[in-house]
Amino acid sequence: MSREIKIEVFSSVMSERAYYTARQKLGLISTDLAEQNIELGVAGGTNDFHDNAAFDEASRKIDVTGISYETWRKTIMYPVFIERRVETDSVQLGNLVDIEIVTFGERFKANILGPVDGILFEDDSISFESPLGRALIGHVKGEEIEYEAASRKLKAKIIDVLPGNF
Amino acid sequence: MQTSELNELKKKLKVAEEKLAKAGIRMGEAGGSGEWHDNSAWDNAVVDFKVREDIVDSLKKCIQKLKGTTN
Repeated sequence: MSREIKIEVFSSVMSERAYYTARQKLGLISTDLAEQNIELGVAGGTNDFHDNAAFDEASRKIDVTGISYETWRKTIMYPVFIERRVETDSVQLGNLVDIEIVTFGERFKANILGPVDGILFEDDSISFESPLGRALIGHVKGEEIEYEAASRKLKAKIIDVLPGNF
Repeated sequence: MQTSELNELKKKLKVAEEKLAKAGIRMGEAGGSGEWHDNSAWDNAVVDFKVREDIVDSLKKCIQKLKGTTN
């Protein structure tokens, strides 16, 4: 039976720290894949592949890890690095923004970076492709913006626009 | 409504993180002998840790989706 495996590739726009962290991650996944290939070899060693649950499980693990490996490999293949932005006239890629999500009464600071940064450094970064990231770009200090997330309308306020901190 | 949903997820995340920390300690205890071969306690602790790690990741992702800070 043939299967179609969809590999999602994140945008290659990222900070340098995201690139090096992703490379480390890829190395770890590669080690996992090598170990899983050994497991597969051991499980299949009997030459009896029929109803071999260990072989099936090892094969499944390789499929899952393989997708993860390909995703990260393609993501960091041609990186475009985001520079730290020092201008604070408006929110742009590379700025740090002090934001309040008015709807939730939650205030935090986040760098506006790429999707890989958003995944690897979720505590201090927002992807410019996220709903909030898209809504913030181009706006200035003191502005209130509306955006949609998870099919709901949210309101946020830009408390301050600061030089990037990453 | 939205705020209560977010608070509910945050509570769940806190509990999940506590359980993950405990699972990490169990993993350390099970592997403490340095003898990992045929150590089913270690194997179970690793599986438990990975499952709990996935739960924490999923909850974090749900919170990010709700706030619109992820794609």
